[in-house]
Amino acid sequence: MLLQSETTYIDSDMISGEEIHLAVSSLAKSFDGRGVILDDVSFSIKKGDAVALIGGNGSGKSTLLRCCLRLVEPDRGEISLLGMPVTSLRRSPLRALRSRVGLIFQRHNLVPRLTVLSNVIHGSMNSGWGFRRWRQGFAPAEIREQAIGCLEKVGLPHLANSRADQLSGGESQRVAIARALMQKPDFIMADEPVASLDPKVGREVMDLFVNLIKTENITFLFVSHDLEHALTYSNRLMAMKDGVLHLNGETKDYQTADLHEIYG
Amino acid sequence: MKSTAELSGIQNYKNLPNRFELPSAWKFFLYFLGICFFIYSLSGSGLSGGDLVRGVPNMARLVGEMTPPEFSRIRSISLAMLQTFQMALVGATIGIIISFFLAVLASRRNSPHPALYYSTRFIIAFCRSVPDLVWAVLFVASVGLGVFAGTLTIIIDTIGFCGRFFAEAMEEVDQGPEEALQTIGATRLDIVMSAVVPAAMPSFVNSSLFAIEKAVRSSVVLGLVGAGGIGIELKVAMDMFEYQTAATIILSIFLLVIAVEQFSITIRSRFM
Repeated sequence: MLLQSETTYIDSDMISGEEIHLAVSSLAKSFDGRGVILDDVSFSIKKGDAVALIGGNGSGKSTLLRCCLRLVEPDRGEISLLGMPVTSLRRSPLRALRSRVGLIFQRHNLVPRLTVLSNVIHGSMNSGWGFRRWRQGFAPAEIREQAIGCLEKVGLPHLANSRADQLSGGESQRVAIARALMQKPDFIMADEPVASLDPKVGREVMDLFVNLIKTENITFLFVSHDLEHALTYSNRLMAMKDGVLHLNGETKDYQTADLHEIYG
Repeated sequence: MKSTAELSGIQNYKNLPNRFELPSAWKFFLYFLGICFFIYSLSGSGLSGGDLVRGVPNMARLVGEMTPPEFSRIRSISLAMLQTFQMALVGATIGIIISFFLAVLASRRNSPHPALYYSTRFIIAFCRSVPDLVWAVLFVASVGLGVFAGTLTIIIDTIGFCGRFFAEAMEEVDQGPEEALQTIGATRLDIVMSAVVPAAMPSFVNSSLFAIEKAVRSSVVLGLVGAGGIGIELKVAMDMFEYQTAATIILSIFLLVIAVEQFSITIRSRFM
């Protein structure tokens, strides 16, 4: 059972396929002045997995996510994302690959002065003539309908014409999720997606994520500082400490006390 | 008797930081040098209280000769004012449009190549550093006397002004939405048009309105060097000692500038 009343969890037995969606091998990254951020990180994520990535501040979680999409260039190592060799892709195929991965940010990163509908339509930026995705007014009818459909999935079709900078934190993050859904993603990565939300709204957003990955069969990797969320909303759990992958296993094998060591 | 700090439980810290940082000896020397140069410049600027006092009666006489304003040439003055405004509006608008494209290339984050970045920065700085009257003289010599030279001058002057501010506005916008679109697979052009431009739009509008106000003021004086507009009318009136007509022209200029500024304030308050 995927969704279980108040306590939502994903059972590993329900994971349908064995196809590897993300494989990272010997990944390393350091920054001038900050030293080693990622040190020989290796792991793989199967299609349909919901993976929580935890770790203290500066442990390399966000850098790892950004390296997976090559928003940050790794120093060495191999990354295979949705079967594509990320580290060796040229600009155009890299853009095509990125368009299949929804990345949700802690700060939501909507374009503030545009409408919610325009922001959601941006999700289809790489699927046609770019200028027809700049504003909802330029977009073809079917794209606008798809965008409204995505807003319905996150429960906000009534806010289509509202400006993005007039939304509450929870609404704003839901719009960011709708934008990611507009990409028709095979994979969603979320970097502390509920860190700026209150606990109730944070839980609603995480429930929404879990429902969506169930219905859309999307692989999900999320970074969280909330250990309860990490244990509740994932079937696999990874923990980073000082740039090294310390834990990597089935979520059901861990208790909250085990995870506190990571922050010690 | 206990002090207030002791009574309130606040500890007395002896090593509190200074309220003000004293400049280093080198900085102090530079400040001193700057002040000395300013005092020296006062003598070079020709400031003279005596001349000012002696000039007051002449100014009063001139004002007396200007009143009451002479409205018999109001029709030709109105046409010249309209021409001045058209020159300013068209010149500023074309300048704003060109500035936008140049500013994209002149903003470090959006420019496709460093060579383009530095070359557009140079062009914009060159347009800005040469005064508008010098541009007007050059264009009058190139395309002849008249409004066209004035319009070209305003285009160049606007590029120098807006190009810089547009580029700075684009560099200052929050990078979060840009990163979000980058992860979606958007091209650089898509990112600029979808994320950067909407975020920088208030600044664009603000700078554009200032550019139009500036263009209106510039277009008035460009006529003095033969670049069309009301300026030539003012020069002729002053040269012919028709001070009452000159007063009408100055009044018209004042009304035009105030009207444009009020329009600009209204638009700005609605858009911001």
